[in-house]
Amino acid sequence: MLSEKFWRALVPALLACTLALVPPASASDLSDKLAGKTVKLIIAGSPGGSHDAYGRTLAKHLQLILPQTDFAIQNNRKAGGLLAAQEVQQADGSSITLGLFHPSMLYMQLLDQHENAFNLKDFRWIASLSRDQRFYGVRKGFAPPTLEGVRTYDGQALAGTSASGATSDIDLLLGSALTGMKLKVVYGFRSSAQRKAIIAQELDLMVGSLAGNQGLMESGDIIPILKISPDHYPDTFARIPALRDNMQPGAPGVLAELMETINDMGRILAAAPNTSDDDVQALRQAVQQLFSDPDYQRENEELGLYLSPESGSAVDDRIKALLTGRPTLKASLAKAVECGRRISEAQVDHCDFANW
Amino acid sequence: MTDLTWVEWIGAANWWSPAIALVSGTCFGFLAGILPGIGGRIGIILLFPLASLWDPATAAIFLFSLHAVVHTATSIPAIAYGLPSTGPDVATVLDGYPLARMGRAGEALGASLSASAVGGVLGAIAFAAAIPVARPLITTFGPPEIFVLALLGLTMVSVLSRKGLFQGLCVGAAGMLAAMVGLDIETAARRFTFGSLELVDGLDITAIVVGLFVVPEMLARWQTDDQDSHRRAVSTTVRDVFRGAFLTFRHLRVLLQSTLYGIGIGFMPGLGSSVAVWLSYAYAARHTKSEIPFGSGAIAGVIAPEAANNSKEGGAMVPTLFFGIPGSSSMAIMLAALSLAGVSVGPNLVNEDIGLSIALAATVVLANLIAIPLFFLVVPGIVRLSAINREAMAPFAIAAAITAALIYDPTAMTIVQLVAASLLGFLLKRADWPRAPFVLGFVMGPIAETSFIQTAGIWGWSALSRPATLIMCLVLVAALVRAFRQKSTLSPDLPAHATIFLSTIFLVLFLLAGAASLALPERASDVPELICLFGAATAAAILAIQVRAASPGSAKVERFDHVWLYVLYIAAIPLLGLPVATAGFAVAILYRLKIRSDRALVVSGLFFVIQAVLLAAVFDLRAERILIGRMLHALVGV
Repeated sequence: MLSEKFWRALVPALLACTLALVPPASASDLSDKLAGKTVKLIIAGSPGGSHDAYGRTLAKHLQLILPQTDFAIQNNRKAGGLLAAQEVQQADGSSITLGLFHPSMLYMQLLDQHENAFNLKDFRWIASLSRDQRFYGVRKGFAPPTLEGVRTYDGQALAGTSASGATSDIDLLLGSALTGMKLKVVYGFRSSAQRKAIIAQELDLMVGSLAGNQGLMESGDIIPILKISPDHYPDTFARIPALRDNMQPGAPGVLAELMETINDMGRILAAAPNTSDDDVQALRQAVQQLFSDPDYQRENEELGLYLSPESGSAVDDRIKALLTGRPTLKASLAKAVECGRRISEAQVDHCDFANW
Repeated sequence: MTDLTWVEWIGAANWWSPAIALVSGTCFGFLAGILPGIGGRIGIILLFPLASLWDPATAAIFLFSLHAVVHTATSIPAIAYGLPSTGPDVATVLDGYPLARMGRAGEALGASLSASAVGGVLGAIAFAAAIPVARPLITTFGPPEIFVLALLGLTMVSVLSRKGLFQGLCVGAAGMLAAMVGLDIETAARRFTFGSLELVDGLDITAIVVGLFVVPEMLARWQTDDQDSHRRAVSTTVRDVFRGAFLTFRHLRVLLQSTLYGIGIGFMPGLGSSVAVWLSYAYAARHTKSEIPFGSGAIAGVIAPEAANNSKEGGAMVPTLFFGIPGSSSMAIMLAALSLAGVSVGPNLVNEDIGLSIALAATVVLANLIAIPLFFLVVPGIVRLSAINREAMAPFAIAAAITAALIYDPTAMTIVQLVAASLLGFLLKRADWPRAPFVLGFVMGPIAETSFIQTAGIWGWSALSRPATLIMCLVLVAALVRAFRQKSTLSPDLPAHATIFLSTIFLVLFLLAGAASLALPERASDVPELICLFGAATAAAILAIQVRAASPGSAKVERFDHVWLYVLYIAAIPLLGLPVATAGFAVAILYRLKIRSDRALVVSGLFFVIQAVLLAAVFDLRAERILIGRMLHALVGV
């Protein structure tokens, strides 16, 4: 008699063998599934920008493996991507509608800045293409150029951002609230003006992506002091502390998780809520196939685009976990942003987490 | 990229490859400038695939030569047809187009060419000379100085208001109020967006310029053109262009001052071409004696904006190339294109890659020189064509301008903005009020507000201890004193009824906007309330002066033709799409002008094809089909 243990082991083994024998979806299978359909890709960024480059390179290579599918690309950068997300949310189903967004849409939704124009819980996630590798950095001459230096700075360190509610504004306010940096946020500094102000030593601190600030780091005008995620940075960041390890006592860890999630999914690709399961699966397979395509990888590299893919199901898990599995997240975020704002206006000098 | 000196770099390079890149880039840039709506930004995006044919350094030569001559070429439609592509071009139109209507387009274009060439070349030389002092150059001027500069720009409204200071101030305030639409940067409050997400980023300058200037100018009754002007225009030759080119050097001070303005403002990232162009224009208008007043066809009014527009790009190359900070909107696209082409910008261009930096400066100089024969080649023909039947050109000029606006932002909201700006343009032109102060207020207002917020946040009152700020404050005080000394507060020749009507409209508009501002959060409402108060006061003053005037104004109001066809055209765009609606609009106007029907159909058909190809090239026609549906939904709820 064969033992029960044997049968328990046999079933998964047979299942694994069967799965191994089933060939992976070939280009022609995928092509059949999406043949004759139109895919409209809405890029939430300006033509010529980095979002656009990621989106158009992806669409170009998808077209190669899906020759019978019609691709149309539109740019809609308005309202920080809100209109593009609204268009994806309201897609009528006459074509497959995809949107390429920045994950800071999560901030928008959690802070109720999205005017109910979209709900990220409804989106069908296809993949994440890249990582932002964001960090906080201080200007040349700021002494000492460390996180502790900012914390113990005599007065408030000046940090610039484009506008209230922008991604970098939220990052600065959260950084201030969670880590104990006493930041005064000054508005009106778009990225170019911000970099110029850092060079001119008008601002003390900035938050930004590695790609956008590489040149100023190399020239020593920006010195990184804190990275948002612990992993996936170049070796030069090995000694830079990570946000999660430098939180103030009692600060909600879920906010570090939120910031890491946004940082780790630099460009996210979603299908409209009414996209059929079959189409979603076919698109996920097609994009996954591209991720291992040497031509696609080479073109991204040539264009200077940092590719660090994550599968659609992984993105789905992370976003849904944040939006549905963290009941305190929304309230904590609102309180932390408010506290960061009060620190910026010198009304308080730290957040009283014990009373949240 | 390379550690060769620039002489070695040029010597080591294959000559033919950079030469082809230089010449082809210049030709494509010239073409992109002539075609309304393409310009530098879209030109670079469209032609970038060609750049990828070369190695990174040669690709950079191609892109910079393309970019260097775009502004030179945009003056051609601006002067010959009164077709500004963007905000800065409006300053060229102000005097260039009246000159064209006098039959002197050849001269005006010649002056524009030499001013652009000198500006471009000196800008490039300034870029090369700035290499050792790049850092102090871009760090000397900060938000406090930019704030004073913006205030200085706003005082120039008085210069643009020769027909009456009050009207200029009122229109300038309206422009500033229009610029308040959108998100307040400090509080994230939405100002005057009427609940529309499309307005969160503010109004679109291209749609405003088209509506305010192009449409009323094209539909104004063509009674002022005399036969002599017409004869001169149709017989324009290369000699006329030469004469204009030499005229520029009689205004050497204007040329050099405008060039310096352009270079200086180019060093400051984020200020934009409009600031350089309008400051130069206003400065020239204030300090130059001209037989023909500025705004009516002064040749120096063409020289100043063109020199500043081209030289600014040389200045903007400094922050772009040496620090990776785009100095203008087109430089932002250039930066992305350079990165995609594999050119590494940043401080290394000062140290290891100095050869490439010098080569790029030389590229800009050479491209400006190559553009000269191209200019002479095409200008006489274009001027003669523009004079053959000016009225028949109107539908095509309007369609080209509207296409340009829709290419940048293909939404129903652009159509709405076009309609609103056209209405305002008709009213202002009918009442003979100045329109340029609107653009000045629209451009300078937000810069003043933003730099004030930055200054208050970082320095507070201690900003006044900065030497550069102090010097600029003294200049501002002098400008203010001069502005208040201006005697003409309200011209007696303005059409009385039209002026009373318009000032009433403005008064109501400012009062309503002021009331709406009260509902905004405290810090978001400060500037709009101030603007509304000021605007309402000037509108009330105009109204009071005009009502109490002993005699009604003597001037006749401007009349317009084909206005209803224009309204139908705008209404048809979301229903039929741009090419079909344009073809219908053109055929209808040509029919009313009694142009032979076969010719009308052929010309309209040809334009239809060009427009359709352009749309297909710039944004996919499939996307336009979707756009048409979206506009229809937005407008009539279908």
